[in-house]
Amino acid sequence: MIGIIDYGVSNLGSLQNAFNFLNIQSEIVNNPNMLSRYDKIVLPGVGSFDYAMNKLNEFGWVNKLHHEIIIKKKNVLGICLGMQLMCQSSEEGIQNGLGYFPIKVRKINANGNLKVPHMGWNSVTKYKNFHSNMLNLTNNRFYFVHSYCVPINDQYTLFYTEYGDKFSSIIQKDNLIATQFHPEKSHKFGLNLLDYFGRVL
Amino acid sequence: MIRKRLIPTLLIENGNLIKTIRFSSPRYIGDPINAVKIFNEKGVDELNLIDKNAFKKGINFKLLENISNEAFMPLSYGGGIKTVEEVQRILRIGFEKVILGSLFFNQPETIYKFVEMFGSQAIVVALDYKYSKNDYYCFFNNGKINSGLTLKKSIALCNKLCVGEIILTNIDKEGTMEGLDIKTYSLHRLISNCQLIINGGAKDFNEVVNLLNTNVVDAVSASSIFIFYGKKKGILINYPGEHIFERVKY
Repeated sequence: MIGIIDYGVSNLGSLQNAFNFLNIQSEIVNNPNMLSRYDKIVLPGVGSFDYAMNKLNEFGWVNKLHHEIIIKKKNVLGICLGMQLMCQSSEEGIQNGLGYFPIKVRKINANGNLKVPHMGWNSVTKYKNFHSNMLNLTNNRFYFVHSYCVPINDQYTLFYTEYGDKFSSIIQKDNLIATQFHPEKSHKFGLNLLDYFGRVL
Repeated sequence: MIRKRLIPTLLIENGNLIKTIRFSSPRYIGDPINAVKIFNEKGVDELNLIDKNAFKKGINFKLLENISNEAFMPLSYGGGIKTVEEVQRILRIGFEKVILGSLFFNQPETIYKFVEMFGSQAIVVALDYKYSKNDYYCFFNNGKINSGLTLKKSIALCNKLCVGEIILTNIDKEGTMEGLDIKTYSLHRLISNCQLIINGGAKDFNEVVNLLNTNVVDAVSASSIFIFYGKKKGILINYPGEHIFERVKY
């Protein structure tokens, strides 16, 4: 059973909707003490870094997440802001992130005439040969909506995306995997990834 | 970007899908949930949903839930939004963005609060305009009240508030299918820090796809071309196939 974390800052309906469509069981978890019941965890996120970290701290998620993810090594999928929260820190705010990835999130450096937020459909390109089956790569497109990004990192970047700037679209480390785009909003391409996370990993 | 976005805008009134011309004379089209289902199947980029009488009758959350269940692409909702709680609820249901109209002119400081809490990318401002007294003025309350603010000043204010994107609608072109107001759009495109979506009067798929492929616009929104078919304007939900769009690398 997948647990989708509810810490008050995200669009959960679509994620659960996507898992339902794929016949993968999921539940929304709004009590950190219940986290141990789930085999896999999804950390979604929409909004600003500090606001989200404050919520995670406020509701007692940080320690429980650390226990389930770092100590018990459960598979976890971070999405959009969720991906950024899993990093060390962000230029967007002053709070510390969860620190699972030793990377600093920075502002998108789109060249002169490209507008930020990066909003729309873009493709991802393989950076490393790993978990390639996770994505249907032919003519792929995923929905991105963000102003800050996770820079490319030789150790953790699986796929990257270009928007005047090059940044990670998917990062991975042991049992952690995270996407900058919204798989639940990326039609069949995204559903493919969610299916992989839910069924294969 | 692979390509710029083409966004159908669906107008809702009393739970029904309708279509207006110049913001009036609503014509009943059908069931919005069914329309969303069809757009989803056609792989549409995203959808804008505007509820015309939500500011009077309140936000129809049940309808939004039903609509959200049919969509595996981004959704934006506008109509009657005033409070943080409403925005939160709409986003939780499954919408990516909220579209603010009257609130921008009545309480811009609340917009800033929304941006702080939910992030720029979730906050869209709709600027509906008319040409009047040698300039372009923004109107709100379904195009009835002149805000007194020019388009230029409104966009500058959006920049200040760090709004995520802006929808520019020419009220006099809306629903006419006479062609988009590129001239006004181009005059204002570079003033905006965020993406500017052109809306109002799109003629046909050729016009919009051409604009997207030649980088004249950031994104296009339209209504009639996705709902009507043929000279007699029969109702048929349609959307161009992926092969029509050119993929561009930035």
